[in-house]
Amino acid sequence: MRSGQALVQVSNNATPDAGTVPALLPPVRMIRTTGRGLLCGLALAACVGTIGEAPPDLEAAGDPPPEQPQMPLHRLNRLEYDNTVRDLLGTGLQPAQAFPPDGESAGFDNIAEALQLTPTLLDQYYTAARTVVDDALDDVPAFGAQFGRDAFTTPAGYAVGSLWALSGAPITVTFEAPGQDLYFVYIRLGASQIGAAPAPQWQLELDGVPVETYPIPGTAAALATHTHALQLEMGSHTLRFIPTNYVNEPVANNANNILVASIEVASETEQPGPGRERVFICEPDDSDGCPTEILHAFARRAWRRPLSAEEEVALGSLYTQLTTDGETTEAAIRLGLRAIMVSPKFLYRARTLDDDERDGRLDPFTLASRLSYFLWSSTPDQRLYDAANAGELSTPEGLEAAVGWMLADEKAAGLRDGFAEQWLALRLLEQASPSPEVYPDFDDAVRDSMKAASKQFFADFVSGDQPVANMLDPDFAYLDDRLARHYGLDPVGSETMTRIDDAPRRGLLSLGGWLTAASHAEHSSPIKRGLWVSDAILCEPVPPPPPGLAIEPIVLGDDGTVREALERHRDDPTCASCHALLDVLGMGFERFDGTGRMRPEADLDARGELPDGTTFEGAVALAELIEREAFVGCLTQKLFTYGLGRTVEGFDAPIIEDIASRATKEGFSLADLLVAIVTSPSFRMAPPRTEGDRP
Amino acid sequence: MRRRRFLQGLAGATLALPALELFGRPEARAQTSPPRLLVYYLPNGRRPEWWVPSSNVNGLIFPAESSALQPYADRALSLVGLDNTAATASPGAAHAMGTATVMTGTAMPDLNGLKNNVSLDQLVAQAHGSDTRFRSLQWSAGEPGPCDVGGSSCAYTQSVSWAGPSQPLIPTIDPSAAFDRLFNGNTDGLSGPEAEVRKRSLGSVLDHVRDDARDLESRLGVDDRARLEEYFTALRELEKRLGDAGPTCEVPESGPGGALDYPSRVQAFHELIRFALSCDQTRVLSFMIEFGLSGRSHDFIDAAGGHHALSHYGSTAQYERLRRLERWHSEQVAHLLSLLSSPDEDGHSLLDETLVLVMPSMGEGSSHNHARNCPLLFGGGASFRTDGRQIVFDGADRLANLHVTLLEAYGIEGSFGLDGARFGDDGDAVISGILS
Repeated sequence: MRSGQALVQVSNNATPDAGTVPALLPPVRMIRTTGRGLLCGLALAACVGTIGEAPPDLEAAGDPPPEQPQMPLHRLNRLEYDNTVRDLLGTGLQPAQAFPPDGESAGFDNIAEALQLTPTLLDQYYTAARTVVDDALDDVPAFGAQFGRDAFTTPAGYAVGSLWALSGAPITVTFEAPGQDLYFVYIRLGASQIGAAPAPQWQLELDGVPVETYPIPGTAAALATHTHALQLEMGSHTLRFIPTNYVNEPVANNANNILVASIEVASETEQPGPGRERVFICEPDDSDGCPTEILHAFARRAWRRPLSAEEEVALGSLYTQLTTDGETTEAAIRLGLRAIMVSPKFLYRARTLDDDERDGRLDPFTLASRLSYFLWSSTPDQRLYDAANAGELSTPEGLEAAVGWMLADEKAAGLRDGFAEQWLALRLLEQASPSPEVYPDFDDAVRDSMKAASKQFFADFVSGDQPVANMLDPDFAYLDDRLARHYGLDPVGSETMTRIDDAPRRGLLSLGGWLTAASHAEHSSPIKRGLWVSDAILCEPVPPPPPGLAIEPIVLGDDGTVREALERHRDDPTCASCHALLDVLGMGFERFDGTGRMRPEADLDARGELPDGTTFEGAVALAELIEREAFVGCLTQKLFTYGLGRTVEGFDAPIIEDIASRATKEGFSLADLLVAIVTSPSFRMAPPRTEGDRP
Repeated sequence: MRRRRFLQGLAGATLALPALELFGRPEARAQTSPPRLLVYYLPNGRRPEWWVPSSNVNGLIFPAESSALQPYADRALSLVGLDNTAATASPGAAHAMGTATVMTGTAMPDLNGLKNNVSLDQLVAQAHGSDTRFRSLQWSAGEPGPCDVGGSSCAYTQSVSWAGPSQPLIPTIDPSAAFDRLFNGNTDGLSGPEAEVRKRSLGSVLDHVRDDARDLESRLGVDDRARLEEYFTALRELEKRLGDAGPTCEVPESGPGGALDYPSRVQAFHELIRFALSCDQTRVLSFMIEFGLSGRSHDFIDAAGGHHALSHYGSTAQYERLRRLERWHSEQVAHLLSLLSSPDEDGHSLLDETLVLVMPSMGEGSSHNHARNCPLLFGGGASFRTDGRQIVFDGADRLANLHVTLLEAYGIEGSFGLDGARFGDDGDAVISGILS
């Protein structure tokens, strides 16, 4: 049986095939005990239904304990790639946004088994390496200002993707020139022209004085760049772009428009790029050995471990070959950096046979990478390397100290961007499209606020010392004015996320982010919400509909109530085993509409029901019913999955149970929980070598 | 123009071809080599009342909602009601299983990991793709969205092309990136003597990278060495792309502009498809107008609401919006066909040499009907009977046999199903009436 197989799916098989007994079942029993505990944690007298039933006790005395699962080659995912090039080179570019989507498994996009490398992706890595190296090392204007769509929106115009269509209204940008200089203004734009309308033109005005009028180059599908060169004094300057011949005659079908993507201002005077200082550790002009030293230093950081003698020689030879063939020093160094970034030693995290795994612990540099990609979604920094080098990561105390300062570092945002965004369904929130007719109030500002509120909520637990179990019933929430208005609450007096104590809506189960993501375009979805709660909060993912299921088409005009529609699920025995749980869990959230707002209706049917008939209504009531240890155990399991980059297996089960128990009894904070995870054997011990590997 | 020269050249004279040819077709291949293959994927099924043409002695008549396809009716072959048995036999994550199986014909035993099979277009690419710079290309105008239920991997909804059981070829979704890959030369944009130096340098860089990768390989455990194979495969493709002379047609000056909205991306990819085929950069392409289970709201055509939700319409209003959405899809397919069918001086077009296989993820979307899929074939030249006819199966034949038929058309021998079937789980017979 492949070690990558997810336990919970094995255990959730509604009709276990008695004829085939997977060898992995004994450890399954351990998770299942926890699982039954989770469901029974809902204060039930007895569990009903096939979910939650423990499979037969197949662990005979004398069975060997489960082995620690292997640590396969682990490709960087998109978030990790972008953060890594940011930290290695100082570039602000995010080339991975153009990469194909990452494979996903177990709810996360950083699972080693699911991350593949296709020819297309290597091609993009190759191109990206050049782009970020040049961006980091090219000289940049001493002064630069960028204005995107948001800077020049006006009531008259409208957005076309990330372009802004002016519709005749002028746009204005203002900036502060730090000194007398020549400044270049780069405008990315295009024209649209329909019917007999003239080609659009506009006039540039500088500080109120007309400079020039010209026709707009380019089109929406093929933007052009227009450049102005302006000699300016120090101080504030205003540029105004005024369309001169806007036409909009819908009846005659004549129209023209100007579409602007961006306006950039850059001084002629330049300074070294953001990466030069950190990459050029010496001046090539000063010594012959410097270029090779630069490549060695970069490779050590990019490959996340010390170099072998052969690697050092190879890099030196590459540099020599390139300059001998005619490349300049600068070009040859840049080509060397690109080679380092296309190597699998950069693109993959790997455990090698040469690793220093004394006392069965992972090599310190392998462990350092595992730590930094867990807590930062990025590469280790010098401080972490030094700690690895000094052997500090070999002890629980050293690991605890590292977790402390790593979470205090601003790079800890990577844990929110990676883990929290996925656990709290914020990536799905990006794709949610609430109907503008049913929910006219919902716009991108609300979406952004919901995302920020969920992430800030999580961040509060990362930096605070309150028990992590309080996520279910904290005494605070995060709101800004926009979100407060959306929820129908009093304004909080801030445009940015603010912590509000004793807020009316509190806790994980009331977060608008996942509630909106788990809805349909025109109404809430008890099924999706039941699914989210059972997976993210209780770690009880539900199997898919069985094969060959024929779904009856819905008859037009047949509305019924939501509950009646769901009754159909429960009446059909094929559907009932899963939907009996899901639907009624989700029904308890019906007071939240499809965009997370509270519905005011007095006679709303928002009665959630548990299999034994216990009813609850609303997020707060459900939060009270959930056993804290069950929740903490599930969060631990999610963090294990994300931090290890694999599904949890039999080996991890007793470790997770133990951590969950201690964490609940002793009121672990989220930081304490993370320490418990990274000091666990699953995280820091080296899996046994498989047969066939060289010793 | 070049075709005429070719005929004249049969007398034995050697032709000196101009160095740059504008969007020309490759010499000597027009009649003798198999057609190119373009798979055009549509998500969330198609409503038969809007998609399936009626057929009489005069040809195909498309319903009003897909009337945009009517100009191409005489170059079409309508297949009605092929049974995608693989999707039905897979676990009930309907969109994942539909999308994953429409080109592989292989049922997934469960939803853990990736357990598909090589897709038809990749078999064609393996057989006929080695002459072109890119063996095959996979593009999509979609944006990754929620994946299907039961823990099924997102790769299932995000790819129709598979290089192997666990190797989804996830499409490029950024037209600029696709453009760069097509037309980005191997000299970092330099010219003259600097370009020669750079070409050599990039060769040295890749040599170093390859040696470096071998070094890593020698230090890995047995399982990881097997995993690293995917890297070496990718590196070989990269070397090939950089080693070739580059496109033999006029490179457009600039690619697609900055961040485009969805409809513009679709059209940008259509243009890129035309470039890629006419510049002979590849002979095998798959394009997904959106990913499987797409929840995209098509506000720009007054069809607001997630596509998937609309496909399970529960009201007349939603039905109407779905109608507008599916009409728009037909118009997009027609737009692509118009780009491929514009003739050169001899009256020949890309469509004569390219088989366009429009493949919906399933039949009717509201009931996840895998058993009545209605693909459309266009063009493909003399090998295919794409001449305005229709074959109605009504479930009597399997979708996998369409793929067997294509294997036959492309001269690909052998059995590719995991259990020895010619293709997929149960593809074993050529469907009569499709090939000439």
